[in-house]
Amino acid sequence: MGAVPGLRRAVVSEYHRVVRPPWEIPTALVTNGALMVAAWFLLPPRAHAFLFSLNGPLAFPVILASWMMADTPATNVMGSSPALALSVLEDQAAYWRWLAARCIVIGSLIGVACAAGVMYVGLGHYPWSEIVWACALVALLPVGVLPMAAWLGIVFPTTRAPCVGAGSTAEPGVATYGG
Amino acid sequence: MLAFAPFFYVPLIGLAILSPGVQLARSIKLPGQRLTPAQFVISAAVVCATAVVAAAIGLWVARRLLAWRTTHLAAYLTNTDKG
Repeated sequence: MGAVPGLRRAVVSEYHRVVRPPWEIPTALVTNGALMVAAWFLLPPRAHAFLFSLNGPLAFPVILASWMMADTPATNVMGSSPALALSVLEDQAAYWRWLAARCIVIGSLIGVACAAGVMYVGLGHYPWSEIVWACALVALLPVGVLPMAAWLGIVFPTTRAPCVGAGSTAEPGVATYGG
Repeated sequence: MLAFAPFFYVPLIGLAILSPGVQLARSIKLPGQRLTPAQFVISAAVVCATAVVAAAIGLWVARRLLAWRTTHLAAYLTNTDKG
């Protein structure tokens, strides 16, 4: 894969990667979102209070945004696409564009889903000013979190081991660490 | 162990970004009452500003980390690419 183009094309390219198999990013986002929703509604009150420091209907989409990011697509930037990562290693500007494009794409997916949650929870119950600011908050939260989350993947990149039978003795699908 | 790190590490970053706004909201609201719309907007604006600052710091540190780990990453990714 060639070097990362301008930011705009990098974002488009990342969107293309997201909507194609193996759907790593959408799967992780939906799974984490489903787990958080289940925990929010099914946990007993004491466990709920322990797990979620914020309470109230508008807190739900804000915490959902934070939890949806909590998986390897957010942290494992380098290991998720070794060929592309190699192409940007020697070019700091290309790396910055690639990381920013990834943050924009993941952030936009989470932001849209959680903003819809804010609208659902807030319409008819909260003033418009609160709804608009809550939407801005859930849209901006991933933008702040994702660059920091990527630190882990730079220091300790992870990759999926190749399948057994393809010249490797590793177990299929086992993560390996480059630390 | 590292495979589970994101489940703790990422929500903690989210909490850290939310904290200034939440603390502000808790300090300005009256006990036992909900935030007024103005108080909510101020707190949300603080969280948004914190998120933007966090993004700038995050990208800057990520670039420094990349510069520090370039040799290691190149060797690791080359091996990965070859399978």
